[in-house]
Parts: sequence; C-alpha cells; structure tokens
Amino acid sequence: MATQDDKEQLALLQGTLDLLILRTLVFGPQHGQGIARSIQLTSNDELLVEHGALYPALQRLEAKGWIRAAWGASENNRKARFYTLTKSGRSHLADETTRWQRLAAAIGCVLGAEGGS
Amino acid sequence: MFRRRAGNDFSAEIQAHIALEAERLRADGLSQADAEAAARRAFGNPTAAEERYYESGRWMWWDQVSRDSQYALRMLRRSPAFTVAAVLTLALGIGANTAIFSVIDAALLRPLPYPQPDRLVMLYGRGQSRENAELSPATYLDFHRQSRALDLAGYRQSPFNVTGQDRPERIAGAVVTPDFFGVLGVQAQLGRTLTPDLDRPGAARAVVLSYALWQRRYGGNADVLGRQIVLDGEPRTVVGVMPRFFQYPEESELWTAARFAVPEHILRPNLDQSNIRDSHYFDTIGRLRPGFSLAQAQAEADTIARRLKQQYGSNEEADNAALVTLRDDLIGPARPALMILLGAVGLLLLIACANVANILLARGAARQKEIAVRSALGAGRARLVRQFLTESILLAAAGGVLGVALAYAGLHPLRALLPEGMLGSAALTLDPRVLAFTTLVSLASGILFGLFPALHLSGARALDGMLKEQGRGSSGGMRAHRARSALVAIEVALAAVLLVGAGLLIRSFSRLLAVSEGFQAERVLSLRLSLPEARYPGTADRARFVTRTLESIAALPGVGSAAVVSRLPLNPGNSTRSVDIKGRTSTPDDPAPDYLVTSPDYFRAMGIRLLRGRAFTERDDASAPPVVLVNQSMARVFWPGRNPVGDFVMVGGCGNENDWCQVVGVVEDVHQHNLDQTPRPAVYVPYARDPWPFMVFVVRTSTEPAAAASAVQSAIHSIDRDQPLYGVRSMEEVVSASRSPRRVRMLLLSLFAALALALACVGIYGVMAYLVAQRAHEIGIRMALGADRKDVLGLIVGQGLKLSLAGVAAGLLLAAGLSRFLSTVLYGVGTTDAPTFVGVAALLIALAAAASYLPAWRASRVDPVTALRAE
Repeated sequence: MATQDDKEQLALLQGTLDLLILRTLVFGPQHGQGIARSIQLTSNDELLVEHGALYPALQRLEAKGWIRAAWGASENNRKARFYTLTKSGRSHLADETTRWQRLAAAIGCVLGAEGGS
Repeated sequence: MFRRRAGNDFSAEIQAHIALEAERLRADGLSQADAEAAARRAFGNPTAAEERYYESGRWMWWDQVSRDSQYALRMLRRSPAFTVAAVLTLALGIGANTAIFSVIDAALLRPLPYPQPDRLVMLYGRGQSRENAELSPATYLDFHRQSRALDLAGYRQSPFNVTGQDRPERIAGAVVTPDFFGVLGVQAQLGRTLTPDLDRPGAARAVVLSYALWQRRYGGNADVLGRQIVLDGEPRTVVGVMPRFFQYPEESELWTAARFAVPEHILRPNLDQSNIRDSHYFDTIGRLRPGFSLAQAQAEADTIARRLKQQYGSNEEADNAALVTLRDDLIGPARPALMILLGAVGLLLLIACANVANILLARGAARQKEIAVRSALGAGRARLVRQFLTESILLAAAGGVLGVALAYAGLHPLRALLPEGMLGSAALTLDPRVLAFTTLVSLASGILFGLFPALHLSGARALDGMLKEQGRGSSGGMRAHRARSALVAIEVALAAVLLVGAGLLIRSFSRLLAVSEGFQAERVLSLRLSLPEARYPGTADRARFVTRTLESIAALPGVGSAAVVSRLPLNPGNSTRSVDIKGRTSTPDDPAPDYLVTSPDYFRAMGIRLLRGRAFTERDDASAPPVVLVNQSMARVFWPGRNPVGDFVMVGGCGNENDWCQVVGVVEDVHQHNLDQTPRPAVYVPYARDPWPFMVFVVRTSTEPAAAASAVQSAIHSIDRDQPLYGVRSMEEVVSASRSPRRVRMLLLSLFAALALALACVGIYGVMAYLVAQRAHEIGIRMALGADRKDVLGLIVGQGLKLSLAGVAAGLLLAAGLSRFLSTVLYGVGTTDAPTFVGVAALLIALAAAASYLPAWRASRVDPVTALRAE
C-alpha cells in the first residue's frame, strides 16, 4: 500500500511541474535555468526544482506542442535555449489551472472537513 | 513520440544552464570556483540527464514494438488455423522467389571467380548470319598483334586420352596459348602455369592439371610436378596444379600448351595452322587492358576487322568483330528464361499476398469490436495500423523462414535452368545475398498484404457505430466485402496471366514432342571414342580399327546393326563445309552444309530413312569413286524441284578436296543441333574416305541398350584395350537431355501456375463462404417466400462467377500484353495463341464455379426457420 501511495505522489508532482513551467512562461520566453530560478523565487523558495529533472519535463511539453524552443542570447549575452508558450500551451494552461484549482479546493474541503471533526 | 533532436544540442543546453546558474551565484558573491561547483551540484548528474533524454525517445519506440509483437503473437496463437494457412501461403510465394532468385544470383549476380571478371570478354567474328563465329588462326594472330585495348589468348576445348598409369581415362581439357592463364588472371596453386618459353620444339609439352584431377588421379601428391603423363599417346610434363575453383572452359580438367602460336587443329595436330584464314576452330578470350572500356575495345576491334577485310578480302564468318562479356557468353540464351521465371514467381507472390490480405480482412470483420474498443480507449489510427502491420510482418517473417526451407529443398533440380558449365563446380546455394533478398521480399510482402487491411479496418468507421453494429448485413460488412471481392478478382487476374504463360510453354513443349527427330531413338546405344594420333597416325590405320571393331560388335548377340558417325544428332556444335555443285553457280548466300562422316550401317542403326538412291556400302572405301549422301534440306536448297541423285558435288576442306563426289542418295532430315531448330542442309561422307580420329559408335540393340553397353565395351576393348570409352548414353537419353531445359522451364512455370490457381480458388471460396454466412438471414427470407434450392444455388454461384469473370477478363488482357516477353522461349505457338487463352478462361471459370458451389450448396441447405429465428 505504501508504495502505491508513493507512486501517486510522484505522478502528482510531475504534473505539477509541467503546470508550473507553463505558468512561468506566461511572462515571456525563458531559458531552463531562468525557469527553475523563477519557480523558486515566486514560490518563496518553498518549491525547489531539481534542475536535472527540469529538462525531461521541458522535452515532454515541447513534444506535446505546448511550448516551442529556439536558441537565443541571455541577458549576459550567453547562448541559451529559450522556451516560448504556444497558443495551445496557453489554452492547456488555462484548462489545467482551472482543474488544479478545483482539485485543490476539493482536496482542501475533504482535508478541512476531516480536520474539523 | 518525441521529435528527434541531436544529442549534442541537448548537452549544449545543459552546459548553458550550468554556466547561467554559475553566473547568478557569482553575482550573489560566490567565488568563480565555488559558483561553478554549486551550479553543478544543483543540476545533479548531467550525463544521467542526457541519458534519460536519449532513452525516453528510444525506449518508447522499443516498448511499443515489443508490446505490439507480444500482442500480435497472442492473436496469432489464438487462431492457429488462420496462422498456419497464412504462413503456408506466404512460404510458397517466398520460397519460390528465393529459389528462382538463387539461380539468378548464381547466373547473373555472383562475380565470376577471376580477378576483375567484368573486364573479361570473348572475341568473335560475325558475318551476315549475325551469329558468333570463332576466329581463324591468322585472324586471331592479327588481332593479337594489333589490339591495344585487349590482351588475347586462344584455346580449343578438347578431350584427351590420358594413359601411362593404371587405367586409361578420358578427360576434358583444352589446348591453350601460353597467355591463357595470364588473361584470366589466375595463378597456379602448385608449380606454375604455362609460359611462352615452354613452347620449345623437341621438349615435352607442358600440361597444367585441375585441382580435381590432381586429387582424383594423382592422389593430391606434390611430387606430381615434373612427372611425365601420356596424353593421346604423347608424353607431357606436369608443371602446375590450378586452384580448386578454376574450371575454365567448362568442365576442363587439364590444360596443355599449344604447339604453335595458335592451338593446333584436332585433325591435324602436327601442322602449324598460323597462316590459315578459312578455318575457324578455336575460341578467343580477352581481357580489357587498363584504361580501355568495352566500347573502346569494340570500336578498335571493328577497325581491325575492317582493315583485315581490305587486306585479305571478305572472310564471310568474320567480316565484323564482336566482343561479348564473358558472363553474357556463359549465360547466353538462358537469360530470358530466367527473367520469365522471376516474373512468374513475382506474380505468384502477389497472389499469395492478396490471399493473405483477404483472410486478414475476413478476420478483421470478426475483430471490429476489438478495434472499436481499442480506438475508444485512445488508440489513434496510426497506432492501430502499426499494430496490424506488426502482425502481418510477423506472419511474413514466419513465411520467409519456412520459404527458405522450401527453397533449399527445391534447389537441386533448378541447376538444369543454367547452361552446363555456367557454375563450374560451384553449387546453387542460399548465400547471404539470397537470404538478404528473401528478408527484403518477406518484409515487403508483409507490408503489402498488411497495409491494405490495416488501413481498411482502422478506417473512419472504426470509432463511430462499430460497437453498436452487430453481425447483420450492414453497410460496414458490405464495404469489407467489396474490398475482398476486388482482391479476389485481382488474384484471378494474376492467376490467369500465369496460366497463359504456363499454357503457352506446355503447348510449345507438346509441339516439340511432335517434332520428328529424324531418327528412331529407341534401343540405340551410343558411346564415344577417339583414336590418338600417336597410336593411329594414318587414316588407313583408323579405318582398319573401325572396320574390325564394328565387325566384332555386330557379332554380339542382341545387336542389330552398328556404325560410327563423326557427330551424334542433337549435339550443338559446328562442323560445316562449303560445297560446289557441278553445273550450278555458287552464290554468297549458299549455306555451308553440316559435314558428317559415317560408316555404311549408320542410317540403318539410327533408323534414318533413305528417301532416294542408296546408302553407303562397304565398297565405298578410299579406293572407290568418291560418293556422298545428302539430306532433304540440302536437296531442297541446292536442287530445288530436282533429284540430286547422280549429280556431282565438291566438298571443301575434307579428304576429298578437289574430287567431284557423286550423290548416291537422299536421306531424311535429322535434327543435328536442337529439336527446336529447323534441320540444316547436311552432307554425309563415307568414314573410309575421311577417317576421323574421334567418333561415336551407334549400336541398335534388340534389348534394353544399357544392358548391351558392357558387352559393346568389351568388344571394342578386344581390339584395343587402351582406348577409353566415354559418353555411354542411349539415344533416348540424348533426346531427353536435349528437351531438358524446356521441360524444366515448362514444369516450373506450370507448377507456379497451379499454385496460383489453387490460391485463387481458395480466395474465391473464402469470399463466397463469408458472403453466404453474412446473407444467411436474407437467404432464409427468400426461401420462406418460396425460393427453392436451385434459385439459391444459382444466386450464390452467379455471384462467384461474376466476381471471377471480371478477373478472367482483366487477366487475359494483361496476359495478351505480357506474353510477348515469352516469344524467345516459345516454339511453334504464337504469343496470343487462341486455344491457350480460351482454355485458360474456361478452366478459370469452371474452377470459380466449383469454388463457389460448396458455399452455395451450404446456403441452399439453410433452414428458413432457423435463419429467421437467429438473432
């Protein structure tokens, strides 16, 4: 039973990372390191993205057509691969955000009710 | 599926990431070294990340393939009858292709075993007849001297009597000019080959042995070098042994140096023929020198031939020169037959594919529910197609493996498709190239028969409605039925093409069987002998030997008559003489008749009918006035509408030169070369007048000829026990060997056509049976409404016939277009032979009716009540 729970938790996390990446890219094109840094900063350092795990996620999102990638120059004029949110990525983000909020609210309700009794 | 992206692009991205992170940390106040270390730590293991990236793409692909294959295997195991039927059908198609391809590989693709074999050519003279002719000795020497583009060598194939050890043996070999081995580019395995300085007069001539002869007769001992052996009564010195593969020209087992600049003539071994221009008796092989192309060499040969013509006047046989690559020379007329068979097995494979596609479609109908479920669960169309293709490729692979086994079993008889000597000692094998071909063919057929059903079944209707759709004759079922009907019609059409091809070959062969050989082959024994010059130097010696031998054979019990002849019927080869008729002006168009030397009883022994005048008698010897016999064709060409008996002819280039010989009789035409060639004019001369050293004994026996063989041999050996006899064959064997290539071709094509026919019938049966099952309900209603069994039978058989009629019509049209490719291998029938086409149409329609009769009969047994109640 315990292992099954672990698996579910991992799956949840993976989905979450995708969502966070898409969200970060709403503010404009960004490279991998920038995305990781930005998630860390905006979550008040609560969420720490393992940089190595970031890239498979980016790869997956690119394959699904939600983000697009191109080589460009960073603010310090260093060559980096910049990711841009696509149109379908934007609408997917909207859907997923709604879903996530409903899920979070529902889980909140259940947990809250349990905690109350 | 991930889009492909180069791995180094990804690692560049990681490097950029780490650099950016380090920059940021430095901005936060860390030292350069600390910042870099921290950045790396934060990232984790970059190699692992790269590997994860790689594998994500690859594993996904592999995972799907293995899952598809497992699923496919499960599906195939679940319906063993289908699987076995499909695999067997494919094995037949693929096996036939593999076997025929292995012959093509051996004949046309496998390199000849000489260095740079594509630069080897044969040089022939070509006259008005457009046939390749040997060069005369003087012409050969002119080419040898003048050609810049070619290294040339001459050789004359010749059998030798090898004596000097325990037993005399007859061995095929060649008299070659010293540069022969250099032109072919092959070194001796032991000792050396022939060199020009070995040609010293007086010294024993050198001889080179083949590996096989060395092993067989000399026990593979290295001390054979320098040993004296006796060839045709003359001592020679063994100087070398060739490698095992070397066997050129065909069947040769020893090579001996020519005594002069050109190989000597077999009838005049002691005469230097170097200046002779009107006799052609040995072959010329050449190798293109570096930097010269075949076209350049041909242009040069044309120039030389033109120059020679100006210098020496016309040389009929060789006014032009023709270069033929060695491979083309070896394969010769067998090439079109091979291509036809390749086409035939290709068609057979197409039919097999159509049949399997058909079964797949039928099975697909039963799997529609499964397909619908899978697509509802999110399998895209591409995914479904891939699943189906995996199944068909697995089937094709199994069929391929079984097909290779079938091909291997059937390989041996296929050797008969190739000219003798084409392969040498090499056998037909399934070498890697053949196996690669088979793999390719299997894969291609897997995709071919799998793709259509896959696209069809995964089609638009897969998603909507199929779950709801139940067995009853719905539109989806009709769509599948139409597809299957089309496939069956195609099968019938392809089968019709093969049947027409087979039919034309069968008709050719029966025409050939009807051709009169011109002699009676039953109970005639033939055996060869040649008298060495050293032992029988004079013509009188040879004539005496033959007379005495024939007397002792004739005295044997069970022997009717015995004779000798210089060349047996049905033996390709040339021995022609030009003739002059007294009182008739020769024209350049006069054919040179075949020249045959026979003892008096030849026509009786061989059963050749005498049409006019008389045959030879014992009195027609060297001292009597010279006489000849002519055959019908000769009489027709030179004495049109007249009786030649009593007229006089002069026969060039033989013992009777400058003598007018009287024509004493006319005999029936005999097929001297081939049964499918019209007999040529021929002139017969008494053996006593021109006693050739090599001859064929012909003995008519009253019992089975093979039984008399040993008695005849001992009768000959009682006169001279040192003379090896060889080529002991009954004339029936000779006749059958001459028909053999045609027979093999006909049988193969018939076999393929029969298989095609069987497959097409199975196809028709399958579709009709399925149709009946689908329409059981409707048939029940019809019968309930008063239709009787005959009506139902007619309905179903009619459907089957309609289907096959379309196929037959298309097939016959296709066959009419394709059959012209057969023209070179047909004999006595046209490519649009009406009886063949009508016969094929009738056969196909009859079989189509039979194949649909069984389902129809079953339909007529339908019990209306049960049918209506079902569902």
